[in-house]
Amino acid sequence: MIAALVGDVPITVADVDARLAGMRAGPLAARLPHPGSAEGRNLRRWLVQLLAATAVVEQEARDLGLPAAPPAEPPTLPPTLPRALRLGGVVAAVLAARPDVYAAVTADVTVGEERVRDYWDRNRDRHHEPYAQCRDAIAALLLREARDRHFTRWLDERCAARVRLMPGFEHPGDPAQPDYTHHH
Amino acid sequence: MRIESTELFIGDRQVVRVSDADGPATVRGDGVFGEGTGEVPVSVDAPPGTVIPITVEAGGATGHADLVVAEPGWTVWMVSHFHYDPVWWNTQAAYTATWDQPGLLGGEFRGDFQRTGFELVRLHLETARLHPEYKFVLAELDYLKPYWDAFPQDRAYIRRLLAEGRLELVGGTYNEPNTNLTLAETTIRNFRYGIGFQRDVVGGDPRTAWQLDAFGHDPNFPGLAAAAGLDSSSWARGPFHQWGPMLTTYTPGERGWGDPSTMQFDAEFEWLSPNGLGVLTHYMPAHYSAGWHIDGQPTLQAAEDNIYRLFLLLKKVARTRNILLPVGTDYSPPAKWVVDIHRDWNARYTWPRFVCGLPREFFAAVRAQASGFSPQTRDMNPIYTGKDVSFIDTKQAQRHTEALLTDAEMFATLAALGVLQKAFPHERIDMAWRQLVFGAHHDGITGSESDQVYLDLLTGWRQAHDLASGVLDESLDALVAGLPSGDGPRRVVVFNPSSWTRTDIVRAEGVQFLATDVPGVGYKTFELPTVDGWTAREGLTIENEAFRLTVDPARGGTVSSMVDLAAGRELLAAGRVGNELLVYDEYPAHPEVHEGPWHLLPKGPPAVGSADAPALSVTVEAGPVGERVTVTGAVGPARYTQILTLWRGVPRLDVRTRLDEFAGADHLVRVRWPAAIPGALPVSEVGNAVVGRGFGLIDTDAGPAPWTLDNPAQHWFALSSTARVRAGGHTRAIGVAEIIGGGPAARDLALALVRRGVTATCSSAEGPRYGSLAVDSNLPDVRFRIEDAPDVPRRWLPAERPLTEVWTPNADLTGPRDLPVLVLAAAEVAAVCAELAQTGAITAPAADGDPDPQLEDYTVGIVNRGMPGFAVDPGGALHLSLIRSCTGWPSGVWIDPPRRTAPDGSTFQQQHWTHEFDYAIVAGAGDWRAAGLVAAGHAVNHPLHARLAPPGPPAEERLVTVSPSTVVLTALKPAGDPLASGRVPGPVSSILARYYESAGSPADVHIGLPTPVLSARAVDLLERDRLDSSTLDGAGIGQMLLGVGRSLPAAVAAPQAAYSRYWLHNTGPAPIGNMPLSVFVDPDRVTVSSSLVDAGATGTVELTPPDGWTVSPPSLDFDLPPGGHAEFPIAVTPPADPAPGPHRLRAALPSGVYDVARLPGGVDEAVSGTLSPPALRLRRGDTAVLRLDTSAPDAEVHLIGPWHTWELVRTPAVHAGGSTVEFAVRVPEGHPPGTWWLLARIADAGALFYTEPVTVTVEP
Repeated sequence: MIAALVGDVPITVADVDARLAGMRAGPLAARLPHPGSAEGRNLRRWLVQLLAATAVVEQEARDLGLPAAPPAEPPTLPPTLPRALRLGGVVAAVLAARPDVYAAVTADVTVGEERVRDYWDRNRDRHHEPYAQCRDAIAALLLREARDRHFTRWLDERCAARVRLMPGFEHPGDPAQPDYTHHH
Repeated sequence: MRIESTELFIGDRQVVRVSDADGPATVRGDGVFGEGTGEVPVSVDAPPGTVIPITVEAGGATGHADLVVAEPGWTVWMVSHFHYDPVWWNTQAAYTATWDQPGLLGGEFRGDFQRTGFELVRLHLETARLHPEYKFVLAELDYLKPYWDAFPQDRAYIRRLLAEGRLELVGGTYNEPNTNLTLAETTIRNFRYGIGFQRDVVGGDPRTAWQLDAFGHDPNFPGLAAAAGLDSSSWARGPFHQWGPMLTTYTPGERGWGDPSTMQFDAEFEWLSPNGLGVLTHYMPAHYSAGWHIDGQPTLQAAEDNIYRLFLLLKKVARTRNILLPVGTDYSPPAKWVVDIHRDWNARYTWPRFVCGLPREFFAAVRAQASGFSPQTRDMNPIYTGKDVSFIDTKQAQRHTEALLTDAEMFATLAALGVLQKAFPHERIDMAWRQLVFGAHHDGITGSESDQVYLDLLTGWRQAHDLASGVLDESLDALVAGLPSGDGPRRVVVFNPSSWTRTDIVRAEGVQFLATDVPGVGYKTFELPTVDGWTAREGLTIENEAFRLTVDPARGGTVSSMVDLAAGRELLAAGRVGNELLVYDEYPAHPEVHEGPWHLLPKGPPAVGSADAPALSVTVEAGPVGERVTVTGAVGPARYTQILTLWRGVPRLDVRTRLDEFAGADHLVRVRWPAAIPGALPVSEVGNAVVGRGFGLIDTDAGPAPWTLDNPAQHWFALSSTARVRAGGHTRAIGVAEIIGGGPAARDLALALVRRGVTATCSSAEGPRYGSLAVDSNLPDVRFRIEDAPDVPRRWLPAERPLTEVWTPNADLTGPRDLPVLVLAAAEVAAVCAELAQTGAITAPAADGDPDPQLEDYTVGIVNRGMPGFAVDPGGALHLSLIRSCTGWPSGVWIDPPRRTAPDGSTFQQQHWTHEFDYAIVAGAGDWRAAGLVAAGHAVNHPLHARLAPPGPPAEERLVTVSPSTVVLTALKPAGDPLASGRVPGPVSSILARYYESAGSPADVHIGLPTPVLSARAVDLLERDRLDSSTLDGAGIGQMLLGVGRSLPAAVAAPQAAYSRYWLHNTGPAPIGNMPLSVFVDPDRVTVSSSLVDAGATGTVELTPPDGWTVSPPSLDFDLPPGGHAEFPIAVTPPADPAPGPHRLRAALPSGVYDVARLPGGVDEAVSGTLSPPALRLRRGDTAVLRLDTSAPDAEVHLIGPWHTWELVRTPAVHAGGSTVEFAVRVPEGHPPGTWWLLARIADAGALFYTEPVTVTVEP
C-alpha cells in the first residue's frame, strides 16, 4: 500500500509504519498520541510529510549532482528549536539531514548593499554605531534570513511539484481530511 | 489558443490573457484594441460590465472570446494580523509564552506555523524592521500588556511604527468578548480597559472594534463602540453561519470558495443599535483567515492567483472599490508572500492594487468613495449554540459575580459618599472587573475551553466573586454603621440595589421574610422576624396572590396546571406539563464539521423526560412566607430535586432545580414550560436590549439539520409580542423583519422597529431575500416592502401558511408568500414609525385569509440566573437549557501533566457533580413591558441584601433617585477608571451613573444622590463631554457625571505578593493593581518597567539570592519617569561548594510584585503536591481542614472547585513557600447538599502542578 508518490518513487505504508514503530520504541514514546486516535493518525500523516520531503530532497540532490546522502537516520525532532520553529518542523528535519542541499540551493542568494544600508537606516534604534561598524553583522543577518526564506520556498515548491499524497495520508493540517481536529 | 478576459489593468488598459499562442497577439473588438504577448493590455471605451466580442490573432491563428469590461480603481487592503485566543484548548501560559516548548501535552494540536503571543509580536516587529512595506495590527491586551511590561525595550519601536502608520492597535476592547453572554456593563468595561491601555498607556489610536471570532454579538454593541469613540467595527461571525456565506467549514473545500452574492447587504454596512448609534462595519465574508491561504501556496504566482480569485468574489459584495483582506489566522506569523505580493503585483498591474494596509486606511478609502451605507439592526445571532450551555457552571458564576460586583461598586460608591466617607477600594473593584472581562473572552464564557483551562478560569471568576462579595459586605456595613442607633428591637437593614421600589423575599440570620416597599436604590429597616418555617400539608396545589400551581406525582412531579389568578388564565398548553426536565442524546462532535462544545448537537427529540416516570416524592409545605412544593425523581443521567415556591406578596414562581449524581456523556438537559399563547412570538433580553428571536428548531437531528436556533438571553426570555401589525381587526405579532428597498426611509423604519424590539435586515428588491437557513444564522417572521412610488397604498399581504408551519428544520423562507409582507410607500414610513413609537403597532387595512391566529395579548416568561440558553419551539413551549456534557474535543484536553479528571474519571466538561439552577416563571396580561419582565429579571438576579443592625429607630432612605421609571440604573461608581489608563487612583468629586432606557421611548433622565448634586452632564462611555442634553433616546444607554460637593477618598492598597510573569500561572489578567510596575530578573540583570502614564516611580528592588550565595548589588534603587524602564546588570556569586537543589534568585518590588530567576547549576525539583484527605463528608455547620503538602519554594496556591463550593472554603488562594498549606472548610447553614470536588493548583515561579481532586460531600 502506498502513502505517497514522490515523482515515481512510492513511499509505502510499510515505510511509514516502520518509522512510527521506531518512534514508539524511542524515548519520546510516552508523549506520542494514542495510535487509535485522530491525533495518532495525524502523527502518521506528519511522518508521511517528513518522509516525502526527505525523498524530494534526495531526488533534488541527485538532480543537482550532489553525492548521495550518508545512510544516516534523519532525526525525528528538529535540531534547534528556535530555528525549527521559524522554518517549520519538516523543513528543519530535512535541513538537518541534508545541509549540503541547503548550501547548494541557496548558494546564489545575495543581499545587496542597498538593502543592508536601508536596514541600518531604518533600524538605528538597534544599530547606533556608524554604518561601517554594523554593516557586516547586518549583512549576515539579512543573508541568513534570505537564505532560509529561499530554501523554505524552494522546498515548498518542489514538494508541490513532486509529491502526490494518497487518501488517508493527507496533510495533517488539511481541513478536508477526516481527522482534522480544529476548530471554530 | 486560450483567451481570458481579466479584471487586471496595466495603466488604463485592461488585460486580456492569451495563452497557448505562437507569437505576439493582436486583440480587436468594437472599441477594443491591443497588442502584446501573454498578457495583452487593450484599450476599451465602454462602461464596466459591457460585454464586447473580441477577436484575437496570434501566430497565424484566430480566436474569439468575449471581453467583459472591468472596472479600474479597486484596492485589496491586505491587513496582516493574527487572531489570538488568550485561552482555549491550550492555556494562558502556553499561548502567551510556552507552547512551542516540547514535552507539553496538547502539542499535537499546534499547527506547525503557530506561535506564542510574545513570539508573534516579536516576529511581526522583526518583519516590519526587515520590510519597510510591511504593516500589521495588534489587538488584545492579553498579550499586549504582558509584552509591553516584559519587553520595554521595544516600546519606542512600537510607538515609531504607530507614528509611521505601519502599525494599528485595533479592538478598542480588552479582548474579543462574547457580549451576548455577559451583562452590557461587562462589555462597557471591556471597552474601557481596551481603550485605556491601547490609547492612554501605549499611545495608539484604536478606531475599529476588531471582534473577529466572537460567537455573535449583542444588539447594543455597535452603539457602545460608537459611544466609546470608535468609528468602525470588523468581524467575521454574526449574520451568517459560523464560517460565513463563502465557506461550509474552516477552509474552502474541493469546490473552492462559495459565492458571497447570497448576502442581502454589502460587506460594508452601518451596524446600528436600538438607540440609533452605530458604526460603519466590515463583515468578513470569507472569514478572518481569508488571506492566510496565501501562506500555503508554493509560489508567489500561486499566492497572487489565490488573492486574485478571492478579489473576484469579494468585489461582488464590496460597497466601494475597496476590499479588506485579513491576512492571518489563529496565532499566525507574518504570511509568507504578503510583502512579495505587495512588491511584485503592483509593479505588474495598475489595478487592482494589492497593498499591505491597515483597517484605518481601508475604512478611510471606503468613506471617501461612499456614504449612506446599508443600515442593519439585524440580530447577529445565533452563532455556536453550544456556547450558551457548555460549562454551565461558569456562566452561573459569571452572572452571579456580575450582579454582585455591580451592587458592590454601587454601594461602595455610596459608602464613600456617605457620612463615614469610607475609602473607595479602587484596586479591588478594578481587579474584579478585569477578571470578568478576561472571562468574557469568546473561548471563556462560551465553555469552549479544555479541561485545564476551565479550572484556571474558575480561579478568575472566584477571585472576582470574592472581591465583590468582600467589598459589598464592607460597604453595607459602613452604611449600616452610619445609621442612627438607639432604643428599640434588633433591626435588619434591607438594601435594594435596583433603581425602583421593591418588595421581595430576603434571608437574614437564617430567617426568610418579605421585605415590603424597600426604596431603590436605598434601604429600609425591618424588625428581625421570628423564625419562619415550613409545615407539610396535604394536597398537590400551592398558591399565592398571583398564581395557583398543581403538580402531578404520576408525571415526575411536573406542573400540570399553573393559573394566573388575576387573568383567570391557565398558562400551560392543554394536556401538557410544565417544568419537565428533558434529556437529549447528543453527538460528541458534529458528524460533518467536527465541532463539539460550541455546537448543540441533539440527535433528535428528547430521549427521556421527567414526566415519563412517577416522582419519587412530592412534598407540599406552607409557612408564613409562602407555599412550596418539593419533588424528587430520576431522569436519564441524573437524580433531580425541584423546589417550586410561591412567596406571599411576590408575583412570580421561583424554581430551584437540583441535579445530583449527574453522569451525562453527550447529553443535554433542558427544562420545558409549554405555554399556549396564540400568535405570540419569542422575545429575549440580551445586553440591555430586548429583541424578537425566532422559534427554535430543537427536536431535530443536528447532523442533517445543524441550526437549532437556540439563542442566548441575558436575564429572561418570553413568549410575548414586542410589536404588532393590526390589519383591520386582526393583530399579528412581529419579531424579526426584512426591509426590502426604501433607501433612507429603510433606515428610519429599521430604527423605529428595533426600538420596539424588532431587528431588521435591510435588503434590495433585486437582491437575495433574507430567510434561508442554508445561509442565514437566523430567520425573519415578517417582511416590509417599501415602494418608491408615492401612491402605493399601505397593504398587509398575509402569508400563504401559518408561521409555525413554515418554521421547520433547514427552513427556507425566501419565497414571496412564505412570510407576510407589509407594503408601504416610502412617504408612509414616517407615519408608520410614529405609530410604532406611540403604540408599538402598525395599522393596515384588513386583509383576507390571514393564516396566522389572532394574537392573544399575554406574556409568559422565564427569568434565568446564569443559564442563558433558550429556545421557544413553534408550538409555544419555552425551553431553558440547563446543562450538557460534551465529550467532543477539546473536552478532556490537558496541558501540564499529570492529566486530571473529575473524581469519577470523566472530563470536567461533562460536569459530573451536583448542580443547582435557579429560574423563575413570570406571566401577565399585555406584552413583556406590561408583564414587568425587565424588573423581574433584575430582581431575580440582584436579590435584596439584608444586614443586621444595632437597635435603633425605623429608617428608610432612597439613596439614588432615578427617573423616569423606565430607566434602569446599571452602574454607579467614582468618575474615571484610573487603573485602566495607567493612573494612580486618588480622591474624586464626581460620580458616574450609567443607565439605560428599557421601554423604547425617549427619556429625560434625572439622577439624585444623598448629597446635593452640584453639576450633572451627560457624557460618553469614556466619560467625555457630549454635546446633547440629558435626554436619552429610546433603548439608549447613557452616562451622567454628577459633581458632588465632597471628595470620595481612595483606599490605599496594601502590598501583596504577585508574580510578575503572571501569565505563566494561568491566573488571567494582571494581578491586583493592574501591575503598574513590573520587575523581571535574569541571572545577569534586572529590568524594572513602568506603565504609569503621569507619575514617576521610585523604589528599591530587593534581591534575595539562595542561601550562601551573594548578589551584587544586593538591592537596586530605581527612579523611573512616567512610562520608563531601567535595566540593571547584576552579578551572582555562588559559594565555593553550592548545595544541591534549586538555586533561585528572587527580585521583589515594594508593591510585592516579584520575579524568580533559576540560576545555572541549580536543579529544580518538579513541582508537586498532595491534597488530603481524599474525601470529606460534612453536614451543615461542620468544619474540616484540607491539607496541601508541597515543597514548591515559591508556591502560589489556588484551591479550585466549581462555584457551588465557594461558600465552603473562604480563603482559596495563598502564597506559600515550601510548606504545608491548610484550607479551612466550613459548611454554612442553609448550604445546599451535594457532591463536588476540590483540587489545588500549585504555581511555582512559572511551573504548574494540579493535585488529584478530593471529593467533598455535603449531606442533606
